[in-house]
Amino acid sequence: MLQLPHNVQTRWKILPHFLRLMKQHVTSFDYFVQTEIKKVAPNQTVRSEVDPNFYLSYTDVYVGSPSIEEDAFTSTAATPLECRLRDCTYSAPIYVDVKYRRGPQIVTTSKVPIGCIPIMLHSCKCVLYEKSRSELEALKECPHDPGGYFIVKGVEKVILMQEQLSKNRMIIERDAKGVFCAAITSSTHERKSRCSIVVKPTSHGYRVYLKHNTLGDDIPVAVILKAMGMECDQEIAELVGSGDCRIASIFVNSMEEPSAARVKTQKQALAYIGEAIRAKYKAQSVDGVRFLQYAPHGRRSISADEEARDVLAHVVLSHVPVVNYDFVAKRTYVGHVTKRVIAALLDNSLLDDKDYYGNKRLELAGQLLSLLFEDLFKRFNSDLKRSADLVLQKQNRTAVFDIVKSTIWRTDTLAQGFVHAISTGNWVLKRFKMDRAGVTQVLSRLSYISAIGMMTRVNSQFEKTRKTSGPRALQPSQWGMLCPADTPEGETCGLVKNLALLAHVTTDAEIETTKRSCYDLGVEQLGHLNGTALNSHATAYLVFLNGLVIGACSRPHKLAHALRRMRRSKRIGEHISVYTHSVHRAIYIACDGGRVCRPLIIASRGRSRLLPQILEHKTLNVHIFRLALGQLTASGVVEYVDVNEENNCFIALDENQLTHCHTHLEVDPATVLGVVCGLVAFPHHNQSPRNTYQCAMGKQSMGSVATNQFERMDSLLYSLVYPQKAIVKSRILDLVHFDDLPGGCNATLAVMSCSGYDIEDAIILNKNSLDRGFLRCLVLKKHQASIRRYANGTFDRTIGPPPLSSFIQGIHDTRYQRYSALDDDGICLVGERLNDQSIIINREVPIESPDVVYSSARERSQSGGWRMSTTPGSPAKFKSQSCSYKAPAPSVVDRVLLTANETDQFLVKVMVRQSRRPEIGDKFASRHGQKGVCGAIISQEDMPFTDVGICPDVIMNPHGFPSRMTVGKIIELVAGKAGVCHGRQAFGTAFGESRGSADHSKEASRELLAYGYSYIGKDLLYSGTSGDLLRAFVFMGPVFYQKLKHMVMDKMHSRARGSILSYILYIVLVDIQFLILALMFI
Amino acid sequence: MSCYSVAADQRARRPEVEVLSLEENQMSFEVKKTDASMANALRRVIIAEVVTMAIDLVTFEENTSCIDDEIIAHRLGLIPIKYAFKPGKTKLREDVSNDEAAAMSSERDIQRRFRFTRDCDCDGYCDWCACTFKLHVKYDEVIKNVPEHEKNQPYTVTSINLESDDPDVFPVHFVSERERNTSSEPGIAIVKLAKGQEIKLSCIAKLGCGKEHAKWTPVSKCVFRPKPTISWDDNAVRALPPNLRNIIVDVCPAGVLGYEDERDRTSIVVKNEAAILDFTKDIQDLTKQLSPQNKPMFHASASTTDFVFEVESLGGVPVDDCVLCGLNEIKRKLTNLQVAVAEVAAEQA
Ligand SMILES: [Zn+2]
Repeated sequence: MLQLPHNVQTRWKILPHFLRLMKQHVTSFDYFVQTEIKKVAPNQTVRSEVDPNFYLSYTDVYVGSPSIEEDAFTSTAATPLECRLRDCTYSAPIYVDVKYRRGPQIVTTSKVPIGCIPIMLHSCKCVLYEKSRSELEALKECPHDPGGYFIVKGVEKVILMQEQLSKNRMIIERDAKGVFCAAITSSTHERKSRCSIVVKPTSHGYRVYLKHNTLGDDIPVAVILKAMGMECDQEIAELVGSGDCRIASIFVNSMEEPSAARVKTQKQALAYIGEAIRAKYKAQSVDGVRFLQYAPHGRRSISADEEARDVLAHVVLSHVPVVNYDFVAKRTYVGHVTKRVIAALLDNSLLDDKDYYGNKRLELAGQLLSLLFEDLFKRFNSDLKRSADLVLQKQNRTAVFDIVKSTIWRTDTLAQGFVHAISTGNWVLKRFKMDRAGVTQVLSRLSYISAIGMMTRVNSQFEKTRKTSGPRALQPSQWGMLCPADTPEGETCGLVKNLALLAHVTTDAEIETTKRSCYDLGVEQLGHLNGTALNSHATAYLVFLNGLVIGACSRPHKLAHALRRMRRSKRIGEHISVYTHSVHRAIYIACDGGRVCRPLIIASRGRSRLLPQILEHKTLNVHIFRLALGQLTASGVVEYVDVNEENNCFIALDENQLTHCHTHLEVDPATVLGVVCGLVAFPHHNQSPRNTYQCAMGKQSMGSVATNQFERMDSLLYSLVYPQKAIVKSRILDLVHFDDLPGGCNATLAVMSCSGYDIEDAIILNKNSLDRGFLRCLVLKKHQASIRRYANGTFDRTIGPPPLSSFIQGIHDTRYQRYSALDDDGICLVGERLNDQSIIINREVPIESPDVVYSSARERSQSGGWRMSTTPGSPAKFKSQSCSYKAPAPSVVDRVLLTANETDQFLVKVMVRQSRRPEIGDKFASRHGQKGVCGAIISQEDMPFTDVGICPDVIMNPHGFPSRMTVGKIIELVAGKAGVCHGRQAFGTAFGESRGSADHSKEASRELLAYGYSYIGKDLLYSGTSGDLLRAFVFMGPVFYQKLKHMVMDKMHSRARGSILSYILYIVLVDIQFLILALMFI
Repeated sequence: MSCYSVAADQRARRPEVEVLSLEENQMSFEVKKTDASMANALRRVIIAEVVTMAIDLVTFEENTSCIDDEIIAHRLGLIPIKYAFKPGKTKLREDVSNDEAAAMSSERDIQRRFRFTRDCDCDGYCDWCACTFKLHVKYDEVIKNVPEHEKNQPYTVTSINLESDDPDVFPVHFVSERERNTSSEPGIAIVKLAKGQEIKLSCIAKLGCGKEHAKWTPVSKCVFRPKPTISWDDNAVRALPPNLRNIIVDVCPAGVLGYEDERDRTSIVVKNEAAILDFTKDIQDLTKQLSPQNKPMFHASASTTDFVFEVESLGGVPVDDCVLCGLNEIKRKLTNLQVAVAEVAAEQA
């Protein structure tokens, strides 16, 4: 047998330290509140048109700690659970330091609140930040909760990661007409625009043009270059075509154009462009559309060529900075792009792939909030200016105008803006031409796994109706970054993705320091170089930083090597990527946010830098061991590599495959999958769609939601009464502590045909197992009513049941029985049973009588309910508006919560509980995408049994296997059976057999033999009905089964009134499987 | 009518029972000269129709524990309840007819003491058809008696905390009466209480059988297997070289096959009869290959008349009573059938 290096067996040990799962949201938000937010404010100054002396400027912005504003004067520190329960927003005030003019003086004030911002849980501003397990428990939070979401009006909201094409990068593609073009989306803080450089086939051969919205007609690239100050034709030719004569021979056609248009100098070129802009402007104003694209001075008194120069400098390719009309960088950029487009024309393989993941950026909560904040802050300032103007216009003011303390300092603009955006998910920012819906989603709390799965979800911006397969297909560049299995079926298939286990999303890193380092390492600045130097020199590479040309260098590989070494020693940001491209002859350095990257172990000279000693600090104490592992990135053992840089890497899967050519070693092959897929045991043995199905089903399986599940007041909570640890687990499940919050039960499964009620994947359950509590679940539903106070002084009230004497039939009156669960205060009692139509909260609202104003004292009435005392002689009339229970099966009152929210609405929340045992038609699934409804429940004496007395809990039809090819389930059963015999949890991590994280099926079989079972996991069964030996061996053993949320009880709807046709009860059944079963049993 | 008459005497079977082992809660016996359907009937009846007692109705007065009422009620229901007949002390039902008494296995039978609630003419329940249990545990009180080092831990309420109002009925304890004070049997856990929590409830245990709910099933295991008839071609085995004999022994899991004499190692015998049927085919295939005549040296087949039973009681009913009650139940059913058949016969005549 192959001798494995010892290291291989234990490499998974470093996994927990790189599990940045769900942390990407938190990192992004932290970056926003700590860094990004401070960049927004200093640019803002409020000035008045009335009083030129007046001004207000911001010196600093920072976020305080979370609090709830009880009323205008008091606020209390908030905990997340309190906000969930009270329907509040978990937010913290934003403070600013301001400098402003108060009368004649200039005043500086610090810590002035300007509004509130919702705080992400577990972020640096959250009270849960870096809290220990016991501290979290004291705050009634689940220690395994991922964080990364917001609580807005009591609802948990996640800002999903949005996938986009990266900005400020060129994409060489063929447009709709099949013309080769380079599309560049420029995005800066001021504006966003699209520009493309196309190679058009004309009667004179191929010619290159630049297209931009502002520029009306397509402008020949040669003219653009001339307008950018490159007047000499030779210079232009060198810039574009000096490297490759084939490119030059095509570009030569374009060189003729300036002279055809009588453009020779820069001024002529600018005039040419200026005319095009004016023509475009005229054409548009005829249409009645206001030309908003560019209006630098408001009054258009400047000449056409000046306007053109401004447009070229600030609008066209606006992301390339132009200072003092120095066009060097932009010229070089245009020249490079032109060269690339022509090269792609010559060789189609040079076209870029839009779906390549290196061209994608993920937009996270921090970035979206930052845009929103900027927009809201600008609105706040313009509102402030308008109000200040009004105040300052008044000639005789009684007091000195203090803007910060006046009533025009309104803090609700920001607070409401944030709350509205997050709670609706509509991000409408006109300034950035952004209008997106569905940015946020309610955090799914169906199961623990579903909550975690949601935090890794990536949404893409493509329209869902598009039939194209390109964006939906799995891209090789997604390896290790996105989970290949976890995507929904149906219309969003492939568009909604999930991050892989170790994938991390970067945040913006400092550009200037990176640029500085590049220059220090020998990058030559552009001003010193001409086209020949850039192109014809064999080793000269252009250096790009975040898509911008910053210079060129003659020894590219040395530069890349030096930069990587600096990154490994943390002298530049650890997420900076360096990517050399020998065909483009360019080095791409990226330090922008939103790139997906993943950790890899560095290997050099055929040896992994992760030495066995690092993993086996047996002699050292645990703390030092953790420390050593935690510093693997700083000590140059592990580094983060993004999608682009992976192209320069040669990554070995295993240590014994390492050669001198290899640069990296995978941390663990199981990390190509995501967390949700980690639920599947032996996923690498399954047919791949089965893993995808399981990823969808794992999110619907019941179990424990969180350790604080019974403290929470979710509108719907499913929970298993006896959840169990899976007998076959995986390293990934250990990482997310699935054993503490499991989502299913270990069932003894027999794969055999039984009774005929098991067709079409239906399963058969053992009645006695159900009697003993197998897969029994609790369903808790929330009922809520608010007791309001109205402007005219009236109140809602809750009131106890009416006296028995008012019912004719007395205690047997059905109307009276509706009140049976009520206490004297009009709210149901904990522990009472609720039948259909029972009243939960007996609320009464006043009948509108707007002329009467009542005194607004609330007092406790004699019967115990809350009611207001009314002015004598004018008793308020009430009508009932009760909250009643509507469901065919009775429930029990679980909890009652009386509280008030921020707006002083009195809230009554009632949790209603139902415990359900599995019944016919309920849906179950193993962890291998094998779902099935329960077809029959058979008592134990009729079930088959073995001679040692084992009787299956679940019987499944063997026809479920051949077409599904879920070999993983078969191995799970065998490994689980061996584990049960031995008394341990078996392991089934993906690709883990050779790495000590999954059991070999061979070993499991051997173990089974040792315990006296058949090595293939089959048992001899006796028929429970006849007592005869069954004529086949039956595959039987423990398999982890999940109960899915689809239950017959919830799908059963009937109406109480209306025409009744014969004996048929109209049952609305959602799943076709239920329909089949229903027909079988009616 | 002849078609209903019992088979002729000479063909009637005379089944025999041989008890192989009998311990407090475990029993193994062999039933001979019968058939699989009879054996299976006995198994089914023991599981589903032996009458036992289990908690069926729980009234909560106080439950501040973290477990919901219905779950606690469910857990209480699954606790096995033991009825111990004490001769002379236990007052038995007086309305038991002689026929009924004859149908019961002994005086120890629970039905001599209790009626089914559905057969009882009381309103709700009474001493003759039910037994009441009380459970009242208050953490702050019980924690005083707990050793210092366990004071911070939750207190586990177990079946030991259940107080019965009938001295003959109590939750199962697996220690005898005498050992009760000295042993540290923890009992069956019901719920854990933390500081400030309290549980107070009363339960009513009623008669029932496994058909209604698994909590009334008296046994945890009740299985039978046909006794295998085994034959070895001893001469052929002896003729094999020793290493091939080892291969034969190793074809089955450890302990299934072995040598008759460990030193001699010439003849192979079956050490574990229960498992041999699973591996018969493997042994046959192997020995057939090894045999010069291409003939298997081993034959084993399941007997169609003899069966080995293994029964394990949950403790509520003694294991031998489980079996006896089962047999009586079959007898009662057969008698009913006989009566019904006779009635039909009389009608048709
Ligand atoms: Zn009674």
